[in-house]
Amino acid sequence: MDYEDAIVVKNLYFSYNEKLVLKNINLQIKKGEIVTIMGENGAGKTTLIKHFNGLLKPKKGKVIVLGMDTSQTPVSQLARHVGMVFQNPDYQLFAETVEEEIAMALRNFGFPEEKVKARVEWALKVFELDRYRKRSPYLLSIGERKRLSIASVISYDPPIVVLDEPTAGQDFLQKEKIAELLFLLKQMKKTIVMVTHDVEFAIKRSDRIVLMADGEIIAQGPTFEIMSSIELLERARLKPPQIIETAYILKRKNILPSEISIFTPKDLVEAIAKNVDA
Amino acid sequence: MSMLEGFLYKPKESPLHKLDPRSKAVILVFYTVTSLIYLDPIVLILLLLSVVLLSIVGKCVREWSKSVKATLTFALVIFILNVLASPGLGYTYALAMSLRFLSLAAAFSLYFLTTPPEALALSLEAAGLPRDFTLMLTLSLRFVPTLARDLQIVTDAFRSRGLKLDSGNYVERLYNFAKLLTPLIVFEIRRSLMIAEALESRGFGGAVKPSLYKPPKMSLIDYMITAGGLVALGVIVCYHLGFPQ
Ligand SMILES: Nc1ncnc2c1ncn2[C@@H]1O[C@H](COP(=O)(O)OP(=O)(O)O)[C@@H](O)[C@H]1O
Ligand SMILES: [Mg+2]
Repeated sequence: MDYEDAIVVKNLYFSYNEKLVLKNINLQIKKGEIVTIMGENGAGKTTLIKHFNGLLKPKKGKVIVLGMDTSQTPVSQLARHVGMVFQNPDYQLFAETVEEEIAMALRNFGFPEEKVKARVEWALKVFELDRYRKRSPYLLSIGERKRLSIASVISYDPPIVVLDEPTAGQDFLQKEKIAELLFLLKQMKKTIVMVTHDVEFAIKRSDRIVLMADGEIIAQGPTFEIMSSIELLERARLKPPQIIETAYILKRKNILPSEISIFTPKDLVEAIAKNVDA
Repeated sequence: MSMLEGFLYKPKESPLHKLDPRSKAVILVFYTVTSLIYLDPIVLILLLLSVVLLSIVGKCVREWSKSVKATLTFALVIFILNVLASPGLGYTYALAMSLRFLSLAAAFSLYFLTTPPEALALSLEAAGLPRDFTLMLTLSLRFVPTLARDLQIVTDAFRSRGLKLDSGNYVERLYNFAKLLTPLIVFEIRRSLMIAEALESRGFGGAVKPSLYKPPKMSLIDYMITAGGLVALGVIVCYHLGFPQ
């Protein structure tokens, strides 16, 4: 086991009742990395990430988080190290006020009261929830509820943060805020595991992509490598990012040479400019 | 949750599944009345045994035994409470009380296991009950698995933030369970409003009385069972009250 590893998954199998949902999953996530898990509905993404804080235990194989074997460590202990933000914020809000919602996990983990106060203040600022501190979480808008659900996890400063579909149902502005947040977390040297369908969101913010289909990992690698393989994306039933698709069409029509790699709008503009000159 | 499974319809091919919900209901009423009238352990055991036989006929012994296993705990509690609360009445009385509960639960479990909620609603409607009522019944049965799933999701989110549901003293545990209910209740209320809107936008509650695609029909066997059940019910009740002179 490498000390550099945040999460190691080895030959993991999992089934609900009799139905096999995860098959021979092998995965290694390094500390400080942003890894995005992608795949169609029902591929097993949520089931996989629920293994990272021990909510689900492997039927076969192993999951090791920061050196701890999840099948031998209670959820309450793993949760201190792995912050889990689920897809629907409405299932995760328990407290009477926004303030208390953020304080809840801090108190559960036994932070001293002055530290709880300081962390709550910090989270209210960073997540722009200051105005609503005394309000009921259920009176916030969907974007604010999403931010609150993230805030109440980030507040206790777990080294690993797992986000299930963070952009689902969010408008452009909220997505931008979530993106800023990922940037902040990266600065804080957190390990981030994210599940999303949103290729445009993932392409800009991931170091590495893991593609899942039907309970198996069908490919994993650096973001540009996975994203530029249209066949792979199709196997995972994902639509390629627009920029990649545009470049693909231009290359197929011999407007651009096929050997140049195009990954960002800037790459595309430069490639076109060069070829127009030529 | 496995206890709830024992009360949810499982589609299968069996004589019990083929019966009309109404004729089965007559038998269910017979069971209920008999087990409420008689406090004799022998009678109650006989009732219970006949439900066992019926569950074999209905090919759902496995699912049925789940609900029975779960109710056994309650039956035991009833037994102990009765022994403690009314020592003068003796063990036979306590045994009869818990057997009564068990046979009622067993009979209802078998009824719901073999009766599709839609068919039950249709036949209740045919029997003249208002549509709002029958819809409420089908919806509440239909949403049991959804509710179970919701509970799982909320529990997962809760535990992920370091809360423990299985440790601490009773007050703490109760307090934590109460917290768990907040998102669940909010979510279910929101869901029910959404369902109401969806139903209304598809014309539910309009002035026109809806026609039935497949009106429920009683077969000859259904009529025979209904008649037999009613006669048996009459006999039991008269026997208990004393035959009119
Ligand atoms: N609690 C559960 N009980 C039974 N089956 C489940 C449960 N949760 C998920 N599944 C099934 O497991 C499969 C994978 O689900 P999930 O991990 O939620 O996929 P994804 O997050 O990739 O959409 C699906 O077929 C789903 O129906
Ligand atoms: Mg999912």
